[in-house]
Amino acid sequence: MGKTLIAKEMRAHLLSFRFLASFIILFVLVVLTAIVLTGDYVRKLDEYSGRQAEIDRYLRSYAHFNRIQNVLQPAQPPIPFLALIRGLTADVNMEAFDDDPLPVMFPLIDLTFVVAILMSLIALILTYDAVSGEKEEGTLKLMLANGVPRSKIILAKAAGAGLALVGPLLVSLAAGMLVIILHPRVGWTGLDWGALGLIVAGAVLYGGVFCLVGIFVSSVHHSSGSSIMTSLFVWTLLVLVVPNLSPYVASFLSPAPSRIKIARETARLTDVDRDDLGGKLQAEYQGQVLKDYPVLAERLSEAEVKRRVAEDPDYRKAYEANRAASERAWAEANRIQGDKAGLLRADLARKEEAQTDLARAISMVSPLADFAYLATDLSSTGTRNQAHFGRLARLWGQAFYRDYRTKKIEELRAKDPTADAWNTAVDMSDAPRFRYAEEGLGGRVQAALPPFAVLLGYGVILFAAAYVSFIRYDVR
Amino acid sequence: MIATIVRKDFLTSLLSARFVIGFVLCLVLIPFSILINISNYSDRTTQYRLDRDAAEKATAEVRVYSQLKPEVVLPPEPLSVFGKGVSDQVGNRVKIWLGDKPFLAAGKTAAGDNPFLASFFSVDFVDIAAIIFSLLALIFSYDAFTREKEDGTLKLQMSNAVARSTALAGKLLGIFVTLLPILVFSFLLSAVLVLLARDVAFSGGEWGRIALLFGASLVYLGVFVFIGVLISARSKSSVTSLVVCLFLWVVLVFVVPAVSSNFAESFVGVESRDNLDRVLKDLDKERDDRISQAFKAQGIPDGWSCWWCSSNWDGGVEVYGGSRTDFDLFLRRVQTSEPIRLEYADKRGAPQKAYLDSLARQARAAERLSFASPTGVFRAIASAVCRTDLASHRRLMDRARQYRETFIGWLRGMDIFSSFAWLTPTNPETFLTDDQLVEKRTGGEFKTDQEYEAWAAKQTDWRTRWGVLNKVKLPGDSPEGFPFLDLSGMPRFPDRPGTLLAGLGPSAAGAGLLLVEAVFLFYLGFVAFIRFDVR
Repeated sequence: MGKTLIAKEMRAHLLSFRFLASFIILFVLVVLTAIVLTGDYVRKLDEYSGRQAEIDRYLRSYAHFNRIQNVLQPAQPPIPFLALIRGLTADVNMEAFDDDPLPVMFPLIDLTFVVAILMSLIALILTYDAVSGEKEEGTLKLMLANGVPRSKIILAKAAGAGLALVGPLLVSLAAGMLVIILHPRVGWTGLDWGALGLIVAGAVLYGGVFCLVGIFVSSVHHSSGSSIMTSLFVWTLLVLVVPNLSPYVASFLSPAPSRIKIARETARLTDVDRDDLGGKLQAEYQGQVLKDYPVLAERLSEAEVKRRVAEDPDYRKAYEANRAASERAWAEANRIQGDKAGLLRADLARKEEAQTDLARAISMVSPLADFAYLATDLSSTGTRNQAHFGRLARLWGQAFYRDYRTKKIEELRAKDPTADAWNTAVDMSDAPRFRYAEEGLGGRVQAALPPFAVLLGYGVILFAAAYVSFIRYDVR
Repeated sequence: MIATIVRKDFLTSLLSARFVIGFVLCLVLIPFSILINISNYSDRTTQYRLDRDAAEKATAEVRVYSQLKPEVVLPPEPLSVFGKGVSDQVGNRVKIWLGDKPFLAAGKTAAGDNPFLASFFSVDFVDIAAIIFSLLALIFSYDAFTREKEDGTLKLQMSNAVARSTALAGKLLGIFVTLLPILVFSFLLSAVLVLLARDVAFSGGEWGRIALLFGASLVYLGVFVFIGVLISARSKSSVTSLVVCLFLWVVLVFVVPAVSSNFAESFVGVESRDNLDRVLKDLDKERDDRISQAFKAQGIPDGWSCWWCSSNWDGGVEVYGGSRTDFDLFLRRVQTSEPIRLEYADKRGAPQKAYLDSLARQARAAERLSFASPTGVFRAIASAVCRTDLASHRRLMDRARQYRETFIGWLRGMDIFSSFAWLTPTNPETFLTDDQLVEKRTGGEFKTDQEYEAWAAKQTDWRTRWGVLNKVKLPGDSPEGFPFLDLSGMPRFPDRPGTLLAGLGPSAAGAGLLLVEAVFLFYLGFVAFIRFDVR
């Protein structure tokens, strides 16, 4: 009986105009997205390679530590998943507007967009009249008169709609993936396949949730006209309102200071105030050194200093004590002011993290947000990846600034104690380079579990609601 | 007869779930978007005031013309409360340099927020209007004929010898009369919220622009009503009509604008920013080399020394306490270097312009492709009306470039590059010779510079060497005591033109297109209904 009912539902969907229209739109959009985003990915890959080559040239020929941080910055190479999912990169990096204003002016389409917007709407279109439509046509009465259990009918309706939704998605995605993997520049790995499989499972679950929304709404209405109205209202709330409302509710409930304000305050602390303090400390410390080494009171030209440092060990000792005093003064000024600025930054980071977590928690009421988090986290294009990238960048920063730079400066000063270590060109071709490695699938899956669980919970609750509502449904 | 049909349709819709749902949606979404954008506008206004005061102070407190680098701070656009456009992503500060034409505005105002709080879609009145008004229009019109046909009432109506044109006009008017209160309510609610907001004050011109936005929304609504009516007249059942309408809605509202952007990005190339930076660096190096060569050709030494001076990368130099020879040398440097700096600003401007043009070309291509959908046209018109489109920002930057030319013209008008006022506020008539300076500073201990230099060469302690020159403090040895420049004649950056229709020329074509679409769709709907089989 169950199989017959599912087959009937499937046949009804497959032969319907709405199924055909859905299939065509999904197919065209997924393939189009794959073609366009693959081209985009290859372009980004070329730009990234060009930039790296330029940095290599700089490191070999005229790098110096004073300006190295402007050139040698950790950058994430494009990952193959960008051929399918654009993720949050464009939104988070607002500075990129001057290089690429289009994502701001027009929302760009990707697999997340197709699934989140289109699939949810298709699910509602396939199911809004599941019960009310059959009632209007009189077939529901007939079915129940033949002793078909209501539980089997509602189960068959959910299964039929789900299968009718999954089929076009899988076919479209297969065609899109063909476009991507056939491109010689895209190195799609086994890990990517694993992540994609989980994203598809999430998409099926997401579509299923909206199928159940449609069936539930249909089972509480007696006309398909009012059923579609309510379905669209729910869709607008879940897809458009809740995800957008969440950041504002979060910023109201958990305020964070303005980034501009904090940036100004920290800039003042680490610039003007630091210079004042550094100057004072330097005068104080060097004054003490001057008492121990009166020879330093003599004002010599740079060449004379170099000559005397090389020839006179006593002068060299005095010179090094003086330089050490200066470095100690500035290190202390940097530490004191850095600590003050660090407190402000840490406070901002803490409050922003709390705000972001709250916004995420509120937005998870919307299945769209759940799917978006799930897809972007699994594909390494979301906020989790931003945090992962930040961790890698910090590790590299330590390796470069703390270890490599210190070693190079020591080497330079061993050769020439008077050398200006900051402004002297140094061959840095052996400098540790930032290497981005995607987070392992285990961590990504772990991150995707909460939104997955919420979607599953939605599915179970909605099915139970649809079942209860249908059991009580007046078929007359 | 028309009035009867209109009244019947209006009353039927008024009591329907769709009317209630439409109203509730607008009641929830409109205040939500307007309040968020009012708060956003207030934050940006606070930021603007801080930036403006800092810029005015920095400009007012200069003593020499070479240090005069006015900064244009652009106020936030009040109409961004309705449509943010690109206003959050473009900067609001433009510094006027001699050696560089204004390229991109600095200071991203939206960077004041937590960027990880990025919402899923943009939220403003224009976006909500584009999504919700079109959806409501389709929902109210998708069953205009099919429902009546299914209920059998259309057959009855036609058998009463009502002309089809009358029935169609009645139907359309009925739909408009139902939708109009929702549209008017949305605008009125927004206007009330704006009026109640403390930090937002619209001028008459801005209210006029809101009226234009209302007009555009009405035509946009009309286009979707005509689409719904056309589909209804071409469908056999309400279900088919609804399915087609909803798919068309998704395609027109979400897919076409997004795909147009993807296509433009893929097929309309832009200049590489890295490449531009490389070209600019090369030009800077070439400029510095040319200045060095020119100095060499005129026998001007590359380095310089002074009693008290400060300089900046843009040729700014402020000198005090020098001798006539020192000041003459500085002036010769200025007369040589600044024309070259200005020439290279023009040279830098060419690749910068090419880069910006390529970005604009791509954005224009995306916009034109998005015109395939009425939503694309409506968004373009709305952001132009709200002065938050890319073209408005480009116009502002063009005005900043023109202002730089006016400013340089003003400097040239004073023949400032040949004037000592460029580098010192000291009156040239009071300049002393090297010997006079040494004599005065050392309190007569040394009569000539040569005498002092001979003595200084024997001193090993620099403090002794310098100490003797500080015996007598001369007036004019440092900036203290000199007044700031009188800048009353300096050209100021003109305020934003406040005329009602300023900058709306390019959107007139979009408005025309929307109107043509409306008329064409009405015609198709009319023909389809004339041929509609009511049985």
